[in-house]
Formats: sequence, C-alpha cells, structure tokens
Amino acid sequence: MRILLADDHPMISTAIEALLRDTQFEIVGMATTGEQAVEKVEKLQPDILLLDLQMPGGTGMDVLRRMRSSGSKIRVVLLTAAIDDASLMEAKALRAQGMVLKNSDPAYLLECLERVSRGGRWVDPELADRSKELEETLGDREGPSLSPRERQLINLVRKGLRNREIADQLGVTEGTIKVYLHAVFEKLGVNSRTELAIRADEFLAESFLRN
Amino acid sequence: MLATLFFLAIWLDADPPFERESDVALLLAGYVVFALALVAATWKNWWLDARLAGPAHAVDILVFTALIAFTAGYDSPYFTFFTFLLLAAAIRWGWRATILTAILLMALYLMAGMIVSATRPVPTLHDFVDRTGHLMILSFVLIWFGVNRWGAGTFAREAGSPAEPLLNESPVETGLRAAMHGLSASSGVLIWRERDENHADVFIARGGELVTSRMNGAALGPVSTPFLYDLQNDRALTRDELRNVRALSANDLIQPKVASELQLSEGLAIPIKAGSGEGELFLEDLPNLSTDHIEVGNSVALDIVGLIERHALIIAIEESAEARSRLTLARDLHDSVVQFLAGAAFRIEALKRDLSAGRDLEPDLNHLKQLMLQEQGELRSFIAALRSAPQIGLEALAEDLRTLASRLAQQWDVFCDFSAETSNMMVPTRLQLDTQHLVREAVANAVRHAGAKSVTIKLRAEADKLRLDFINDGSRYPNSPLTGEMPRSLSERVKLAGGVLELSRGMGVTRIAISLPISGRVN
Repeated sequence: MRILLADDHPMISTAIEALLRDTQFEIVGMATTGEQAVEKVEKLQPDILLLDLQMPGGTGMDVLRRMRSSGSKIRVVLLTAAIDDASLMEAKALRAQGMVLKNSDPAYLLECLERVSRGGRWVDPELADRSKELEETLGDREGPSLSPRERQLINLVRKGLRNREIADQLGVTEGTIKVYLHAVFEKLGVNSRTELAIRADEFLAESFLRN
Repeated sequence: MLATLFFLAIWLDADPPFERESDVALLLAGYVVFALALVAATWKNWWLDARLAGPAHAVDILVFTALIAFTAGYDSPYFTFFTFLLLAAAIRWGWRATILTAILLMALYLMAGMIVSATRPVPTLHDFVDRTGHLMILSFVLIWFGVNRWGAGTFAREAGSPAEPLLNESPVETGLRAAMHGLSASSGVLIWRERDENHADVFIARGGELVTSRMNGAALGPVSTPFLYDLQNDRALTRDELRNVRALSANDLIQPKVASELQLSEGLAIPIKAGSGEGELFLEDLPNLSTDHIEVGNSVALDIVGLIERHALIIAIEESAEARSRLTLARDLHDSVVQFLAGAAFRIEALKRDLSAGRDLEPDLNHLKQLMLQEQGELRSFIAALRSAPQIGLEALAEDLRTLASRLAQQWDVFCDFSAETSNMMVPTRLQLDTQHLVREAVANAVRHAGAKSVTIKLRAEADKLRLDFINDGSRYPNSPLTGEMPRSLSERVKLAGGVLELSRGMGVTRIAISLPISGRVN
C-alpha cells in the first residue's frame, strides 16, 4: 500500500516513517503543507493519504474538501492532535476513511491503516464516542440547513476575519458579504458577529449532521 | 459694587451730570443699602441667592431707568451701568436673559430719553438715539459672551483634566475622590449600582476617611439633572432644559430614609448614568455653593462616567492581552511539546515492533535520545524565560538564539548562520520568548515554503527596538490571498508582539526584516 504522508512536524514524519518500516505500507512521498499534499496526490497517485489537520498553506480539512470536490477516490486518514466538533462532523460527512488522534495509542495508527487498506473505515474510539454524543445531542434539533457557501462564511467569521478580508478570500464585494452575513444571522437567529463566531462550531457540526 | 461705585462717583463729582442731584443721591443711597442688605442675606445662602436674583435684577433695571431720567448731560455714566446689567444677566442666566435684558434696557433708555428730551428747552433726543446704537453694539458683544460662557460650561473645576483610573482601586472610588477634589468638597457619598444588580455599593468619604457599604434601592427619585439640596429646609434647586432655575422639594428628590442613613444635609446631588450601571453622587461642605454648581455637576457626571468606562476598557485590554498570552503559550506547547511527545510515542511503538522482529535498536534509540535531549533543552530555555526576571541582558538573549539556530540547522538540514551586534543593554524577557518563536518560525518557513538551503540570521538592538533580519536563498514565498507573499504564521507572531515585518526580494535571496518594540509598539 502506497502512502503519502502530509505532516509539517519533522518529529512526527520521521517517527511514522520508522513505524511503517517493514510493514505492508510504503511511504512514497511527504508533504509539509496543504498545497504540497494536493500536488503530490496528483503526481504520486498514492493509495492512502495520511493527513495532519494543522498544516500551513491549507489545512488538512481544506485538502480533504479538495480531494472530495475533485472526485478523487483516494483513501484519507486524518492524523491529528485535536479536532473541533464541526471538523469532526464535516470529516465524517466527507467520508474520511480513518481518523486517528496523535495522543492515542500509537498502535491505533497501524490498526487504522490496515482496516482502511482493506476498504473499511476506522475511527479513533475517543472520536467515535464524541461523534455519537454529538449525533444524540444535535440530531433532534430542527435547525436550518446551511449551504456550502454559508458554511465557508461562518468558518471565516470564526477565524476572526473582517468583511473586507472575507470578501477578498471569496472573491466577492464587501457589500455582498454584508448581505450574506445578514441572511446567515436571520437563518440561525443570532444577533451579532461575536455570537456567530462563538457558536460557529455548534452550527457547523449540526449542519454536517443534517447532510 | 455698582451701587457703591455710582454713589461714590456722584458724591465726589463736582459737577454731576444729573438734575435734582439730591434726589439722585437719595436714590443711590437707597440702592446701596438695598444692595448691602442683599449681599448680607445671600452671602451663605444659595437658596436666597437664586430666589432673589430675579427681583434684584428688576430693581437694577428700575434704578438704571430712573438715573437715565435724571440725566442732565452728554457724559452721563449710562454705559457702565448698562454693561454691568448685561454682564450680570450673561453670567447668571446665559444668552437668552442677556437678549431680553438688552432689549428691555434699550427700550427703557429710549423712553427715558424721550421724556428727558421733551422736558428740555433744547431737544436732545438725537443724542439718546445715537447712544442706543452704541448700546446695541455692546449688547451683541455681551450676548456673544453669554452664548460662549454657557457653551464652555460655566466656571472651571479645580483639577484641569479628569482623573486617570487606577487598576488597584475601584473607578467609583477614584471618581468620588476626583469629584471632591475638583469641587473642594470636604465630604462626599457615591452610590453605584452595576447594571442588572439589585444592590448598590456605597462609598462614603468624610473627615479624610473612606467607608464602603452596600444598600438596596436608589437614593434619588426620578431626576436626571444635578441639583442643590438643603434637606433641613426641604429646599432644592435645579435647572430645566432652558437653564431656568426651578425650585423643588428636597425630600421629594432624595429618599428621606436613605438621606438619614447617609447623614446627608446640604450640598450638590449628581445623578450618573453609564453603560455599565448608574449611580448618585452627593457632594457636601462645598465652598461658595451656588446655582453655578448645577452646571458643573453635569461635567462631574461626565468625568465619572468617562473614568468608569476607561477603567473598564483598560481591564478589557489587560484581559485580552492575558488571553493572547494564554493562546500563544497553548500554541507553543502544542507545536513543540505535544507534537514531540506524539512523535516519540510513535517512535517507541516502532522500536517495540523492531524488538519483536529481533532488529538492532541501538541506532534508533540513540537518535531518539538525541532528539529528547534537544527538546528538553528547548523546553528548559522556554521555562527559564517564563520564570526569569522581567528583563534579560541582550548578550544572553543572543547566546540563546545562537544555540537555537544551531539546533534548527540540524533539525531542518539547513545552513544557519547567526550573528549579533550586542551591548550590555537589558531588554524585556518577553522579547526572549518572541525572538525564539520568530527564529523557529522563520527558519521553518524558509525551508518548508521556499526550499532554502541557507538562512542567515542577524540580531541588533536600536534605541527603542530590536531588529531581526533573516536572509534565505530559497525561492519566492507562495502567494496567500490574505497576506500576499508574507508568511502568515510569521506575520501573526510579529503582530502579536506589536512589531513590524518587511519582506523584500532581490539578487536571488529573500530578506525578512522584523522590528520588535523594546517597550510599547513599533510605529
């Protein structure tokens, strides 16, 4: 099984390289940024992408979204130190085949890769419990559904970006962002940008659950 | 003063410009007696001072008219009298009363002039008409004075600028002290109720002592403007929107039970409303208490509100800085310790498997030991920086960076040249942390994003800033929609440290120049 490892921390990369030595998994390439990961997936065509979430130049979630929107069939295993509720639910919605926490038993990574290589799915027990809990808590709610654009907007508000910066990122005018934001406020029943930023994780997790 | 001056002028003048001089002297003598009686009655009585102001003004106008009627020559001192009357109106009531007084005085002056002219063998009406023109010009000047006087906010408080909030003291307490100092009050009470709180904090300053307590409910009735009060005589004076003085019952405005508990008697009451709450200020034992204090009360209320809001802002800024420090610390721990431990765990798992397979573990164990020692060294200098004194020598800081640069060279397999122009200067310890993070970030960025093989790091101190230059031989940094070519993580760190980052490219190298403030922020 050919693996592309995308992680910006050298200690993790060398450790995983050592861990996968003499196993059925071969590391065919390494990437230290999101952009590099996308490029190398296209170039090296690996079977599995072992992807860290926190990376410069495009996060692991950005890479996963791009993989799925481009129709790539590559199997993706997320390897992360921490993941918020919204990203957890989005990763599930985007059908990430595996999710492993860096602070869990290192043997889980091999277990996960083996399961994924056989075409299955494997989620870290801690994340599986959290996901189940979220489904139970948020599943009964009757909230509005959010479009991908609205989710993107909420994510950018959560990062603390101003309207001008959001407009630059989305390639629209500042006025358009104001209109979008007003519609999102109305839809979610929030009164301010601060409230939206604080509750973004909850809204996003809930919307991915509904998809 | 006017009555006395006139009386003396007429008495001393060998040829006074009046007919029936004995009648004029009698009138002025009566006027002097009236004025002296008024001074005696209102000397320490703001209530009578305010209540008798109108009648006294009317008497002044009548005396003015009578003196004009008795005038006998071109040099009658009408001008001085007129000026005094308008000034009195401007100081006491403002521009509206000044206009009314001016119109009334000019009309009376013309009427008196017509009567005088009609009784003279030679008509003198044109003199009166000419002089009315002069009075009109003077009126405009004094009306302008009246407008500006009220616009500027009456007489000044003793302290020129409002007090600055102290972080170790309640802003309400600081506000009370500042208000007492500003108006030279010997005692004061400030009741402050935070929004959505049922109870109020009470600060009582008397005889140089400050006592605090709590109470429920409000001390004042429905009143929004400052007012003077005399609880013993149940008197209160305030001003309405048109600045007219209004008499009220003090016991209707101040709850008698609260007044008794707080031992209030006579002084200035000021309602205060701010975004975070509302309160009531009582200032007592004020020298020369008068209706002018009502206007000053508005400024005092604004000063206290400003003080409370500035205090809240400073606290918010401090909390935000603390939160930023916590986030930075969390991020640093995540980026270094957590990632390292996760990596070490993976390595140990790999070693465990190698052991089962009967492989030689020594090279891997040695490598892991080396990595752990390096990480331990970094962690120790990080902890030392957190623990150390608020200042560190520039030479020690440079030495730490030199060691770090050599570690980074090994870690990223890159040539790292560090040089420093140091002196025996001391810099804040936070700069040690900031520079370490920046060096780590800059080297990692140069390798990851620009594929650099060599990074030159230069440190030097200028008068008020620390300068770090990074020159790498890599390619251009990839463009980001937000920061352009600026490496985002590095920009964020520099911004957090209050510094400035400049990026330039030329001769096949990229230069990043970072200026960090030794104190405050780099302009």
